[in-house]
Amino acid sequence: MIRIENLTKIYDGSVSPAVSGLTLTIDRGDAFGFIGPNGAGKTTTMNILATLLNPTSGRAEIGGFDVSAHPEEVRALIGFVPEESGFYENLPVCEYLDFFAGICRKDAGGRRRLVERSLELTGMEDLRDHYINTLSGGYRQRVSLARALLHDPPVLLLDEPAGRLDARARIELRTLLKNLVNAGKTLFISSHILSELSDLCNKVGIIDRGRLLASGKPGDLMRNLHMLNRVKVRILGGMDRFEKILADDPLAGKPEKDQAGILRFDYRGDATTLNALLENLIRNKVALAGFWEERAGLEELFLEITRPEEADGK
Amino acid sequence: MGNNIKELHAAITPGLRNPVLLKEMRTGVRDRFPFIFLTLFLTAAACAVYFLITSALGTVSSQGGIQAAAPSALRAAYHTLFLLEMALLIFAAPLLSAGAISREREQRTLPLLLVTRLPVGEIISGKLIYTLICLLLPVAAIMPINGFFWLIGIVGGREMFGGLLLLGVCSGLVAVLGIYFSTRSRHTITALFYTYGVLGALTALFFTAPDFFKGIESIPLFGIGIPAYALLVIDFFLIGTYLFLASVSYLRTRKPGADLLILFLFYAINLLAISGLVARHLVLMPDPELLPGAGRFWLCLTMLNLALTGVFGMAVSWKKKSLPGRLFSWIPILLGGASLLSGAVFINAGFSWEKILTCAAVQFLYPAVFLMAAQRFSTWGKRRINFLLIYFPLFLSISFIPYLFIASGSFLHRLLALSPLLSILSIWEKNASPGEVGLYTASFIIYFILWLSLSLTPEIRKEER
Repeated sequence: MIRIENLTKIYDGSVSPAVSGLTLTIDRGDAFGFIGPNGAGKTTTMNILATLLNPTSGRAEIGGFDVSAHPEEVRALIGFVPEESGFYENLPVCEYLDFFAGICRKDAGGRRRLVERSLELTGMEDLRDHYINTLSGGYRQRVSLARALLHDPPVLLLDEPAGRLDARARIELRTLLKNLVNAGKTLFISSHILSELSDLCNKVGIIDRGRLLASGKPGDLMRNLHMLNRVKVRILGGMDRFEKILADDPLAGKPEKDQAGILRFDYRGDATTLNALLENLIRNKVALAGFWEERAGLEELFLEITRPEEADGK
Repeated sequence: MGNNIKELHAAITPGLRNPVLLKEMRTGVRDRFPFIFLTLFLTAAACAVYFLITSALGTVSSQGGIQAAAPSALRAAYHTLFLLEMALLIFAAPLLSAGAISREREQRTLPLLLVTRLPVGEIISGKLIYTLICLLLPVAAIMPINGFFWLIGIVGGREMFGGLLLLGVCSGLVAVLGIYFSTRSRHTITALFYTYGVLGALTALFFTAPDFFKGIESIPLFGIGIPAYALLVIDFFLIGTYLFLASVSYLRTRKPGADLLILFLFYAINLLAISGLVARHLVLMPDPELLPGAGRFWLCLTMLNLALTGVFGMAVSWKKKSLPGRLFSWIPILLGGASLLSGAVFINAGFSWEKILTCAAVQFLYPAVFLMAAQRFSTWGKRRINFLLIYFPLFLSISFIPYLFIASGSFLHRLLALSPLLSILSIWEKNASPGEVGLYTASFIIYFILWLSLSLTPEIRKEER
C-alpha cells in the first residue's frame, strides 16, 4: 500500500539530510510504527507521504501513485493527522467537520452523512455542537482524527498522535486506532513514545538521524538481533557458585545487582538452554528465591538498534 | 433568456460553493471586526462629508456668491471625500488580506487544507473573493453618502460609479498583493509589514512623481489610438495575475509554471509597448519634442534592460533554489514600478541628462547593489538572517534614492531628504511644496520600514525557531 524507495530529503540551506535513503514497504491493513527520537526525520517522511513536501531524491508511492507526480490521487487515499493539528477554534465540531466534508464536493445531505459517520467512528456524537475551543486535548485529537476519516481513506498517516495526551486519553486513542486497524485501514503512525505503539503495530521501522536502522515485525527484529531476554534472579546463598556458573555460560551476560538485591543479566539463549542453566544452578546448590525471564519490548529493541551509533559518538 | 440565466447560474455557483469562501464567511461574520470596521468607516465618511460640505459652503459664502461658486467647491469636496475613501480602503485591504494564508499557517490549519483534494487555486481564490466581499461591502455601504453629491447634481452618475469601480479595482489589487505576501510569510505581522511597505512605497511614488504621469491619458501609444495609460492598466492586471499565480505556485508542491508565463507576458508587453513608441518615433511620427536624442539613448537602455532581466529571470526561475531565482519572484513588482515610471518619464518627454543617467542607474544599478547586499548579509555573523525582511526595504531604499534626483529641488533638499529627522525639520522651517513634503514623507516611510525591519528581524527569527 505504501512503498518508499531510497527517499532522501535535504532542506534548503541544510547540509545534512533530514531523511537519507529511506526504503520501506507497508502492506494493506498493516499498522506500521515509525519509531525514532525527536529530529530523526519522522515528520519529514510523513510530510512527504502527505504530499506537503517534495523529496530531494527517491520516490514514495501510496496505492500505486507517486506522491510527487500524482498528489491529487494520493490525497484521495490518505487521511493525515499532523503532529500539531490546527483547528478553527470559533467553530463547533460539526461545522469544522462540515467544512472539510464540503471539500469532498458532496451535497448538503451527503456532507451530513460523512460528518455523522465520522463522529460515530470517533465516539464524538455527543460533542457535535461543542465549540472546539472548549474541548480537552484528547477530544481535540479525536476531532482531528474524525476530520482525517471524513472521506473514508484507506491509509491513515498519524504523526505523533498521542504526543500531548494524558494517560487516559492515550489509552482511549489506542483503542480507537485498534478499531480502525480491525476495520481494514492501513496505519502509518510515528511516535517517540514506544509503549504507545507496542500493542498496536504489527510492523515497526526505527529511524535515527534520517536513516532507517531497521524495519520489520518486532519479533523478527529481536530474533535477528539475537536480543531476547533479560533474566532476573534473587539469590539467598551461593553467590560465588552463581557467578562462576554464569561466567562459564557463553550465552549469559555479566550479572548486575540492583538496590533491591535482585540480580539481572542478559541471556541470548532460548527456552531450552535457559532451562539447562536453571537446572545447573539448582544442581550446584545455589539458593534461589526467584528466577524470572523478562521479554524485551520496543524500548529495548530501539536501544539495542541505536546503541552502536551512540557508542561511535555520532 | 432562461438558458442564459441557467448558464450564468452554472458559472457563478461553483465559485460561491468554494468551501474556503463559505468557511471564511461563516467565521468572518461571527467576528466583531467587520461590524466595527463598517461602523467606523461609515461614521468617518459621514463626518468627512459633513465637514467638507460645511467648510466648502463656508469658504464660498465668505468669498460671496454661493450660487456661482458652490458647485466647484462641492466638487472639490467630493474629490477630497473620494481620496479619503480610497485611503481608508487601501489601509483596510492589507488588514483583511495579509492574514489570509499566514493566519492558516499560524493556527496550523494550512497543512490540513493542502492535504485535501481542494486545488490550491481554489483556496487562494476563496480567500481573495472573501477579501473582495469585505472590501466591496463598505464601497456599497458608502454609496448613499456619495450619492448625496449626485443627488444635488455635483457629479454625474457615470463619474460616481466610475469612482466606485476604481475603489473596488484598487482594493482588489491591494488584496492580491496582501494575499501574495501572506502566502510567502510565516507570520501575519510579516505579511502586513511587506504589504504596507510596498503600498507605502507605491503611494509615495505616485504622490511624489505626479508630473511624470502628466498627459498620459491623452498620448496615443502605438499611434493607432490606444491611449498610453492602457499600458498601466495592462501592467497592473498582469502584476495582479502574476501575484495570484505566484501565490498558488508557492503553495503547490508541483510547480505549474503559469506564473512564469505571466511574467513572460509582462515583459513582452512592456517591450512591445516601448518598441511601439520607438517605432512611432522613428517611422510613423518623428517628433523631436517627444523623443530627443538623449531620450533615444535612454529608450535603448530600457529595452535592453527589460529584455535582459526578462530572459535572465526566466532562466534562473527554473532553479528556484538559487539566490537570483528567489529574488526574481520579488523583482517583477519592483521592476514593474520602474518600468512604468520609465514609460511615464518617456511619455512626458521632459528629458535631461541627469534624469537619463538616474534612470539608467535605477534600471541597472539597484539590482546589482541589491544582490551585493544580499550576499553581504547572508554571511553576516555566519547566521541565517531573514533575507527578505532586510533586503526588501533596503532594495526599496536603494531604488528610491536615485528618484530623489529626478524630482525637482535643490541639492540641499535632496540631501535633507536622506535624513528623516532633518526632512521633518526642513518642512517646518521652510514653506515646502506638496511635492517636497511628499518626498520627505516617502523617505521617512522608507527609513522607518528599514529601521523596523532591522528591529523586528531578531524577534521574528526567534519566534520562528
